[in-house]
Amino acid sequence: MGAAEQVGDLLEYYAGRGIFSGFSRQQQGAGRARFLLRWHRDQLFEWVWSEARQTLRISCVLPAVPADSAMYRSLKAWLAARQDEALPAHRRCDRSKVALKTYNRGGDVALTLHVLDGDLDYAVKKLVNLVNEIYQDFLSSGPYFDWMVETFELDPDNPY
Amino acid sequence: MNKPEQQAEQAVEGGAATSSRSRRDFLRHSVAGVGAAVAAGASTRAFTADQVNVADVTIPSIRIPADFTTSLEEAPVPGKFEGRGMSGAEVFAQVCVKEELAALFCCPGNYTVINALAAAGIPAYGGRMEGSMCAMADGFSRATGEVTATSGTEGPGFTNMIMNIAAANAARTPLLVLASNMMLAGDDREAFIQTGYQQPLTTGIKKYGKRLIDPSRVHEYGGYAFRELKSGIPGPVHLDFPAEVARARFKSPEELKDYYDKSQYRSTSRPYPGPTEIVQVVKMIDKAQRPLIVAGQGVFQRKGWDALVKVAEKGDIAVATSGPTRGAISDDHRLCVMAAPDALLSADLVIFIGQYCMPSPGEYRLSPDIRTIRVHPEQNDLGRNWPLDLGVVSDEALFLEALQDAIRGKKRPAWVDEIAKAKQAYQAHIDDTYRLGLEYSRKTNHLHPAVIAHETQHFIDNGTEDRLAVVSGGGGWTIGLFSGRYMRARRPGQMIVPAYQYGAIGPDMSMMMGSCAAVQRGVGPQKGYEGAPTICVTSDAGVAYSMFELDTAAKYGLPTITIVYNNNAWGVWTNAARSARSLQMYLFQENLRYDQMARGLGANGEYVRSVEEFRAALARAWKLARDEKVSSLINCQALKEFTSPRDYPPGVSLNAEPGVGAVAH
Repeated sequence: MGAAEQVGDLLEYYAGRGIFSGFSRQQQGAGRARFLLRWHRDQLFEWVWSEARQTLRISCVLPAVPADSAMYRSLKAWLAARQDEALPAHRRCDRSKVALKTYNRGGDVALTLHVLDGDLDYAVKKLVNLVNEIYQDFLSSGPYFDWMVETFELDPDNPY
Repeated sequence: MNKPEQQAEQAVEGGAATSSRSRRDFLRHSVAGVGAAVAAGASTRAFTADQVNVADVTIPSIRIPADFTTSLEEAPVPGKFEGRGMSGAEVFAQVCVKEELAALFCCPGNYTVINALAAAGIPAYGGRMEGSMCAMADGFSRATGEVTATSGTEGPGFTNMIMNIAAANAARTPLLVLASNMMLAGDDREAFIQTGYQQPLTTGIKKYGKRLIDPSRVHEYGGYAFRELKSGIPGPVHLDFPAEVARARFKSPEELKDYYDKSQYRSTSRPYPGPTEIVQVVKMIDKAQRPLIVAGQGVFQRKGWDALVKVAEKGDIAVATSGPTRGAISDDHRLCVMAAPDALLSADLVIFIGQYCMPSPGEYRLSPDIRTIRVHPEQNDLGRNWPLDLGVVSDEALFLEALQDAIRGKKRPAWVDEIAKAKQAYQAHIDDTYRLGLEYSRKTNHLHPAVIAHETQHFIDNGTEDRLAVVSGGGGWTIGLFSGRYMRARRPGQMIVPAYQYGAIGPDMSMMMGSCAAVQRGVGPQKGYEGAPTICVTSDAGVAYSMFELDTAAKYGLPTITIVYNNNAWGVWTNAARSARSLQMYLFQENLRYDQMARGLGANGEYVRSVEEFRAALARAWKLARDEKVSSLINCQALKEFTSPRDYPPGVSLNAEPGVGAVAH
């Protein structure tokens, strides 16, 4: 089984458990695969696996976060804390196994996870949990309620 | 003098906004303003105090009528077949007595039925608005798990109840909704007033409903009602009584269909978990490193709290609760994760027990990798919303008792340590917010919601004789979200979540009055706490729906303390912040005096703007409630801008689900 297929199967496992409300495999080949996931706040997340770079990249994990904003700085600090040795192993992104990077393009925050040791099971699982925690923890830990309502066009009485 | 009394006295001596007064004193004061204006001719001008010499006007005191007291003391007179015979309403009332209907909350209307219920000996409360009385019935049930009834007039009263029937439905409250439907003979003729066909109006917000047609089946349908109310998943049951049924007369049992005992028209049999399923559950728990039980409303309804704690302690299993009533496990218990949101994300196995309203993945703060067991009394709900690794059909209490026997004792020190750290982190977080709120309060001379919430719980813990006796609850948008974080439940039925699942703004105050009635009577888990006051924290928006029930609380001696976060606006005003022309729709007059309105209704009213004034007001209110059964409303003047993270960070944010402050699922 190729790595791209393995990533797809791992993501499909989560879809099969109801974690994503929608999932599809897009073009695949030449060491690169693209997946679309409908997930938190009904957002469509694009995941791209690059065999050559050994990276999993989510092109927009959070929209409308300006690069010079306090929110972006907080997000980067929060992500750094996810790799802190003080966290228990089941919550930590092990620095010896994966590296995390964010990019900000016009407010769209891209999140890239670099797989350092070829352990795709670990990498996919960590990235799925990380995104879940961004929505479950990071966005509820700061003054982001109004931001969520505006950005995701939520009904404030039903902001999910 | 005991410690709380000393504190109350000291608070009064400490220069509080108003001095402590006896019930008679403050009633006299409260009446003066309103009554004087009326005596002066009720002109608009007369409502300003400087235009009326109050001392020259004789104003009768607010008082409870002697007829009320006499009526309340009357002995029950149940209907009988002899003589005039039993009316249909009396036959139904007899069913309610035998089924131990806990209480009736109503406004006059549906006269034959409510009169028959009161006469039969059902504890009956009459109030000012049907919607509020419906919420009171719901609150009584949320505090006890017992079936309660509510009733209103045929058309207007019934439709006034709709919001709170829907709230009860969302909370799966076993609520008996009674209403009359004028006369069958008047159907389609628009005869006089108040006619309407009710059953379609409760479609989607009831478990079962029936318009009674055949008088001889009134007992049979009483059985239908209680079968639904006391079997399976609870929910509102709506019966409407046309006059032909309520007023029909029966001189002998054979005139009634299915006139037999409850033991024959419903069963108390409960589903027991299969032995192989229990083995599977035990295996999954054994394999888990960080197991979590989410104990839903079913655990409370089925009184499974003792077994819940025993199972948790035997296996070092974390516990969160969900539903409209909190406290099945104490928030202070080492395994309780209600105030440990970060630990939730570490759980690797969740066992939903009696979770009647299932979230979807992503709505609960759990890991996508979590394994799931769900225990539910009805098979057809297993697998809804949340995919399962194992579904078990079982009564909640029976499952927990079976698991208690089957589970192996196991220590999970790392998990217990992680829960403790998560609790510390959450406490540090809300303590920081409280300190920030104090700073905001002092700078603005207006009370921040974190301060109100923190101080209220601090008072319950330190200013009352027994913190376990105080049932609390509340709602509102800004204050509801804040108070959820600070308020604690430490025993079953100690905290009510009025906004649970339906999110209605408004029933909080009356729902807590219903809970207060349950406490005064010592029903179910409230046994042993008779006489204790209850505390409600709510918003200015919410209180407007229920305030007149202060009259009801005064009549029935229900000692409630309502803390009103008065921020001059609907809490959701920030949604109009970028729409200049819309904002006006979200705003009230500023500085409204809910405390003065409370005084006009025979309650104690307090107005506070600082933390010191708030502490003193709480002490006075508690003393009045405890010693004289007098309710209080504490008007906490705030600013709408406290809601906004732009103006006063952190502003509002949603609370973790499940957990303290959770309002859904």
